[in-house]
Amino acid sequence: MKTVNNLKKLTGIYIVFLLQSLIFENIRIFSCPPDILIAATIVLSVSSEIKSAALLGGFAGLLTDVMYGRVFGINILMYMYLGLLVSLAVDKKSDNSPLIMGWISFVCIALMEIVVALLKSMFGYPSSAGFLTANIFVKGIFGAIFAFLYVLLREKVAKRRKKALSGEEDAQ
Amino acid sequence: MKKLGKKHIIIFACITALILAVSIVSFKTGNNAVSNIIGTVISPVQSGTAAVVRGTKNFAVNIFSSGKNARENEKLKAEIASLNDQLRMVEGYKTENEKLRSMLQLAESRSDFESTAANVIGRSIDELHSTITIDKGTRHNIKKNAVVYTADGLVGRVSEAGYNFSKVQTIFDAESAVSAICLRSGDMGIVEGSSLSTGGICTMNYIDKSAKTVVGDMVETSAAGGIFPQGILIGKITQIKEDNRALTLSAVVETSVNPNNLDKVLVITDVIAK
Repeated sequence: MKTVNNLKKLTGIYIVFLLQSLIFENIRIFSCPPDILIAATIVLSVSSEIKSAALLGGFAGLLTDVMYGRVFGINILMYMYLGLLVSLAVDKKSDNSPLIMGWISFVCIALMEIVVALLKSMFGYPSSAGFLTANIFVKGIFGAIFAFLYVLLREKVAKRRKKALSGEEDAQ
Repeated sequence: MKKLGKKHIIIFACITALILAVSIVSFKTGNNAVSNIIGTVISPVQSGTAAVVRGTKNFAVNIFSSGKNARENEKLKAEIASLNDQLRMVEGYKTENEKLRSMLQLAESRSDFESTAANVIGRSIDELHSTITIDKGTRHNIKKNAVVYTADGLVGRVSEAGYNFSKVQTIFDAESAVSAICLRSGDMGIVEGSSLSTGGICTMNYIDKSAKTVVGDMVETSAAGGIFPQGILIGKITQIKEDNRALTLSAVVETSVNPNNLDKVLVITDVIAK
């Protein structure tokens, strides 16, 4: 069951990666493309065990590294630790409402963007505070909306399924 | 907050060390074997998805562009609507056909090198790096540093060639440098991608202070760097200014290629010696 769940989530990450690189990379808001891959990694990591979350993150990073990475492995590590930290920090059993998940997603994306900017400046790449702010807001807000909608949809599906099941039980 | 067990810490430390080791090896040797193997497996799926996305995009563009005409036609004759749908599809094929034909003509017009056409199957553009992924690789005779261009102008060079995919570092990348020449004045310079240049703007640096370059001059590749062949259009100069130390001039170049609109490119596979 766990393996099936993990496979489902990995497939989800792959679909999100395809959408990101083929559709969302073409959208520009203040020169920044929205990033649904980070948001998907965060959302799926929250509902996963520590190892599964790290695996999901690592897989998202692997895809990014293989198709676009300069130095193989950097994105794998970043996404893997993102998944790991989100899974550690957020209790999957607690009631994570869509709004809370949106906030978690925003904070995680903002932190990741700051880490990336720090790493870039450490390696001597030019960085701009304005672009970092735009990146945090565009990717953060978009990620928050994605997480909000995902959790909202999941809750609705779960409610409907519960209703259908209770209806079946009543009929029996 | 959950706690990480000792066993988990050891596992993650080992994985991190392993990935870092692979990173260092691939960075130092430039050999991305792991990346190539995985890329070879996943690029056909991405290529197929890109084709579906491209087809949908073309169809949508055609619907939006002919929306006004369609509304007028609906008012006049309802039965023409179905014919319009067919027309839109034909127009989509026509546009694509024209694009391919112009690329073919361009490839044939350059007798000094052989080119192969490729589809863009992914892109990753941020404030510093601009990379696109194409659906052809070493299997199609594409090598590292192969030059990528379109009918509009220069796109970049292949930074990594996998078996059936390649990563292309575009001219907008902060690490890209292309030896360039002004068509009218013959002044030389280096066209570099710059921070925040994602919108089709590059900078031509190291132009001699006595240069006669003016705003509006066209810029193309010069063969000076050894990678890019001479005569591929880069763009148009829109602004000229002195550099920070006032030793040379630098110009803002509006590129003829927009990195966000690329879907088909040509890759130079062989340069024919004259």
